[in-house]
Amino acid sequence: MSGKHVIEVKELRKSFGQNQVVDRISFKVESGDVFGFLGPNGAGKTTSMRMMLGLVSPDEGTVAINGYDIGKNFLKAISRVGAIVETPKFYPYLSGRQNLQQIANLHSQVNSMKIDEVLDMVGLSARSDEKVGIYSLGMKQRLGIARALLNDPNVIFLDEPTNGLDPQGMKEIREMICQLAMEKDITFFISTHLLHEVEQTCNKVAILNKGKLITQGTVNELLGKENEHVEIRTPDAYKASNVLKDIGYVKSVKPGDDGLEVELEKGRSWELNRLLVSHNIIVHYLLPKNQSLEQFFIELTEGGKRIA
Amino acid sequence: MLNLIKNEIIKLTANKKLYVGMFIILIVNLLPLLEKLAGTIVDIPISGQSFPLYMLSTYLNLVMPIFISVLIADMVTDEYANGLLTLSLIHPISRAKLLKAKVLALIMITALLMIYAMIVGLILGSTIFGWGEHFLFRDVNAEITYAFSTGAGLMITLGSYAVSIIPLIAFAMVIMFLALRFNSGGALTGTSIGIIIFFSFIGEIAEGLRPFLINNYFTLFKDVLLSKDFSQAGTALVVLGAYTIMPFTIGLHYFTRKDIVY
Ligand SMILES: Nc1ncnc2c1ncn2[C@@H]1O[C@H](COP(=O)(O)OP(=O)(O)O)[C@@H](O)[C@H]1O
Ligand SMILES: [Mg+2]
Repeated sequence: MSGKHVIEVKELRKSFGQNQVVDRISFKVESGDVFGFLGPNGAGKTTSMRMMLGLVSPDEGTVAINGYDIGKNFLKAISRVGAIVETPKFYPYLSGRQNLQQIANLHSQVNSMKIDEVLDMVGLSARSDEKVGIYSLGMKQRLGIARALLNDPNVIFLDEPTNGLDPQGMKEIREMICQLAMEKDITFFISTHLLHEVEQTCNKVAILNKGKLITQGTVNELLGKENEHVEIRTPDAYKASNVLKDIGYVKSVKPGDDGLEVELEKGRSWELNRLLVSHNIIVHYLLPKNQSLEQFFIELTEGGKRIA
Repeated sequence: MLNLIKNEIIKLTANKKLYVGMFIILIVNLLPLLEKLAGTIVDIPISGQSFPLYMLSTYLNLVMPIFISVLIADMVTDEYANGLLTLSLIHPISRAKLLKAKVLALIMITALLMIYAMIVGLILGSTIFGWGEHFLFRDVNAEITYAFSTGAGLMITLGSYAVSIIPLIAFAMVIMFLALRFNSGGALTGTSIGIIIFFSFIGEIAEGLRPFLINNYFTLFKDVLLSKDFSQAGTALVVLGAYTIMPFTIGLHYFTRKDIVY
């Protein structure tokens, strides 16, 4: 293994026919991260994940997992990976336990005790001998996680893990992710189209739209937990922006609809207001804006819907 | 590799299609009884001991190819289209090994089915027609009647069923090759049946093409064990070898690079 990066994606690109589905994305996932891969439907999340797991070959770019290239050194790269791609699939005519046995047979070190252990972890021991065909979606999702845990992975990929679940099921899955990340030291890479899922479970996030990475960073940073945004309604926008450009707690200044939009450290807006007034700048209104990422993401998803 | 084969066998034996197929073999064995009652096979000697050999051509030309197509549709095409192939492929096994394991499991199941068909034939045949004094075999539309002692006849039957695995494997490789490209198991099965019908049809209207058609060699056992026409058997083995190796090699090459998008 080289370095501390569990996953390293470089310049990954894929098109299906004329359709550029993933467009030169790059990011790194560090050990211990719960990394959110956020984007609206059709953004290219599943395709990216399939490339990262060696299921789809990229047109360009590389993926390394635990320091091994997925294309050149597949067997090593994949050996400590657990994954659920899209909704978890099973052989419906086999029992839960037999379904896990199918995967256990692909690893020399996984025995039937391990199967019992993971079934117990997801609370399915009692129903494990029933055919999966009669399982509920929530049970399948849990069995999927049990299957992903079979080979003691150090990184788990989940593709829209709460899709289709009721609120209680969603809560359970998210709690399970947090618990596994903390107690078992497992790194997670989670794709989702739900911003609040990222907020609740992830420490890092990368946002994908139409195959392109729009932004990435820590959730705190991007969700504006450290900074906030205010809109200044003023006729003196030019003068105001000159005043603000060298102020330490002001992070960015952009022209707005009727004045300026300012990003600044949390809790400093009263100072901003006093500063502007002391420079004889007319401030009609000082309006708090929604968290930037959220608004950004809403615009993004609505844009997606309009196109679809 | 052994574990991979085991996985395939577990899936095949848990799948009800295998048992439907076994039941169909049972039913097919009853057809000669109907023919006998209807008087259409009056001049052909049938008795229990030679009954499995009498049935073999029907298995080879129709029942087993369809059965093999249905099993491959499940093992390869549906498994891919239902997102089940992804499950195995995100673990440290090579795609080539997985495909080889599927082929070997299929060959094993085919061999077991042939043994089953032979035993069913012996039991049903002797129940319906009686065991018979001698081993007499004559094919439908054939001139020659072969006569053997019971022991020799049964050995020839066993050998014929064993030899017949070869053309079935060749056929299976052709279907496997197609199965890797299809996204629907139903469509694959339909196409396979179409191919079976098309090949026999082409053979009828264009005799010149016959030496190149796989179904021309389905009854390889006759050359090897009955007429003992070894030059014909040699040709058959060459053609069947080509039908086995080419689709398998190209299919394997394709499969190891295929984008798994389900
Ligand atoms: N096998 C495929 N062939 C052609 N286009 C595809 C294929 N898979 C996905 N796409 C297209 O790629 C885009 C991204 O799909 P996907 O990766 O599934 O997005 P997401 O998981 O973010 O919803 C979509 O426009 C989709 O239609
Ligand atoms: Mg998706």
